[in-house]
Amino acid sequence: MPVLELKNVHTYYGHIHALKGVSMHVEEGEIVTLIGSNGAGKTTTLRTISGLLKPRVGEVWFEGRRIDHLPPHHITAMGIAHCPEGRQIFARLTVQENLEMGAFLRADRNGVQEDLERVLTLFPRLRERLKQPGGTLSGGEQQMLAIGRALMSRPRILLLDEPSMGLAPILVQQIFRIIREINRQGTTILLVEQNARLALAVAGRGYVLETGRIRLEGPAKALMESHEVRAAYLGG
Amino acid sequence: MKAMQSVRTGLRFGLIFGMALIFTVLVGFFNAFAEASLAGLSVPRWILVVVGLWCGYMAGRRAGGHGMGELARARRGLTPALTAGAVGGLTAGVLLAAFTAIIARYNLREAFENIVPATVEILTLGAGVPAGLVWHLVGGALLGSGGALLWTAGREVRPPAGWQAVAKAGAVLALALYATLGSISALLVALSTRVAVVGTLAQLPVLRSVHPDDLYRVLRLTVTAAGAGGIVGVVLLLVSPQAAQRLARRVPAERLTALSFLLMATFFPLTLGSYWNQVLTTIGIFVMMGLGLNVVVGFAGLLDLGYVAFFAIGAYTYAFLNSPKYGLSVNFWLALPIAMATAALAGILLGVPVLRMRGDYLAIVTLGFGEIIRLILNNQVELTGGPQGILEIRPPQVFSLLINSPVEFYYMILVGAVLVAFVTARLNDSRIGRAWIAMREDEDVARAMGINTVNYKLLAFAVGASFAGIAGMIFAARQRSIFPADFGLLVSIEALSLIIIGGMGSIPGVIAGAVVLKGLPELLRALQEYRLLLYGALLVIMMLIRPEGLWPSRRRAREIHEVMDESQVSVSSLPSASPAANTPREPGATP
Repeated sequence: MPVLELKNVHTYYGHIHALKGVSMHVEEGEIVTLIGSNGAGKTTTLRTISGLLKPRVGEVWFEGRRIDHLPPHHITAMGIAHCPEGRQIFARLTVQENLEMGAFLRADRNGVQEDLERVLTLFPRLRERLKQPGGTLSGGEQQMLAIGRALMSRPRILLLDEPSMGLAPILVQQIFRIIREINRQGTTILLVEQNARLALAVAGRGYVLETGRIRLEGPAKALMESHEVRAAYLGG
Repeated sequence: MKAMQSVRTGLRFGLIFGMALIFTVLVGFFNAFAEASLAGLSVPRWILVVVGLWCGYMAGRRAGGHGMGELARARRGLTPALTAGAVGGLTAGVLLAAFTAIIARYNLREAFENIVPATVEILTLGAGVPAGLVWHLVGGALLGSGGALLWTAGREVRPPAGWQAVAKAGAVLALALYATLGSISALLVALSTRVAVVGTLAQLPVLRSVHPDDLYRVLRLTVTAAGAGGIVGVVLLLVSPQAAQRLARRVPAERLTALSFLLMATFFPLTLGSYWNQVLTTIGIFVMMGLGLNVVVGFAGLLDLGYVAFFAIGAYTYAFLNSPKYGLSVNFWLALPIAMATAALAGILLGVPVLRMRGDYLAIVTLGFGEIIRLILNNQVELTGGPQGILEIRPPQVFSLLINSPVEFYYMILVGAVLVAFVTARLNDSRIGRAWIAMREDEDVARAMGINTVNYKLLAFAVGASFAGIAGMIFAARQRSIFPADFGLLVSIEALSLIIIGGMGSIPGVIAGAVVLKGLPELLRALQEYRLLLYGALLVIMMLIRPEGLWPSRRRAREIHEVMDESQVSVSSLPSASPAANTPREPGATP
């Protein structure tokens, strides 16, 4: 049974038909990537999974339960952490406060402390900046904070939206190394990226989204070699 | 070139201060206080001296390189500041002299009722027209130069390092001492009506001199104690730096200050008399309201401009339940939970439709809500009595004691306010408080954290409303009769203002804000009809000097200072050949 499954999901923004029947699934322990150009519906897919948008048609299933009618806080509580696009951190709260906010739904103090330690080990830069307001961090550090904060809820699956956006190449490399490390420690990851080459390099499987529909799917290696993907997303 | 600039700066400040002086004369301030004197100098002369010095200080500061790096300032030297100060004072003097000459020559009484022959007399310092005018010019230039020198001297004098912490520790200790002695004195006097021996004890000179029987005196002694303590601290620093530093580290300044004020709030009203206690109860009611609104605005970040509605609902609920007009006669303590619940329910009813609104839109809708409640109270004559209000509301009773006098009300409100403050402090430190902070900072991200923003928003509205409900109930019980006119927009604005003045999101700040906003107009009564003028000016000055509020929460203080830090960083990182750009300490310096 897949951890996460979307069945023929249609999502609208008012009259705009953003997702036109998306079906996909993520298995336990995988890194699955969702690639596609601007406006293809990648972010919309993530927002639909985490309950910020409701699909008009179709179903979203998580660990054998249907979740598309649930409010976002229930979905988060079930173990889906959404790390939104554009490094949306609490700019005026300190790094530590940001991380603690990520564990908002948890009552096990010891476990939270453990996870804080784990996140700070993954991102040593954050440890140096614990008492500093999030808004004063650099772009890369803010992205690390956003990912770290999502991990603080000890999620079953982590939804990452464009973690490479606006970062210097060297930082992108670093972030992707950490993503792989998070996955190795046992967290399932659904990764949305515009940078198809990098995404396919870390992912096991991938989906290609185009104007609201899944255009291609398959193992990352196969996609990387496919003629269509190379032409459209990898620059030949 | 530089000299021209200094002259221009002086002219500009001189014009501003001169106009301000003329305005003060035109509103009749000089006439009204011609007879009053402070330390041997009449109030109008004080004003002339202070304004002259201040003008020179400000002009000198601007021309002397305030906000620039030390090197740039040193290069400028003394001349520009002095020039600007002198020109500023002279300009103000010229303006005032011209004004005096005009009112002496022409009859302006038709247009300005405060211009009387005595005004000329006051303005020329009794020397008559030509001689007095020379005084203005000479005096203006001298005072202006003096002000500029004051600024320069203030720059040059370097107090020993760490003097602020030591002065603070000294001031706090002296304040605590005064609060303790005053409390003992008040307690003894209050007891002396029962036990005669205690009365003689209260007459001990030490205790008599701090006896809190008048709020002016309390204020004077508080300021004196704190000032003296601060000076003692600095002296100690000069004598024995180690001991002073140790003292500064040992004294828990913030906690001790809060404790001192709590002590004063607990015991001083015993002997303050009815008038001041009446003032204090009003402050207490606003403290409660402010604490409630602080939950909504300060914690949860929901701008509510119709907060008075919940105050009105609390008051009218009690009136319905208690006034003989409706025949229910429910007593105060039974009505309390009902009024709280009603107000909380109203809070939720307001909350549901505005769930999706933010910022300005939310402010407008809540503003409308406040007005709707007032209009309903005003127009549903059969139900609420309309503009005639509801009369014969009974005060609360504790066992056999009917709470009736201002002092008794004060103590009831004190207990209520402390409870409300305690509950809000606990809420702020709890999970709920963290959810509010997250929501205030960024609602979308808060939802992504798994926070149920709908519930927490409604909770904030309900909690805030129920506190206003308690305040309204106590208000109704104190007034004995309530009218829709008591619940106008101004109450909402005052509640919001006191939060802003005190420091958004800070509980001691709310209390300080209420004391200043509602207490200051009473303390300024000596200024007669000018009190509101000065009150407004003080509020403006306070917000300019301390935009983060009187007693801000740590987070807010950090935010405001962070903004300043950022401007420093951007300045210091600007590429520039000027050495001024390499001193990041002073904000606002542009090379």
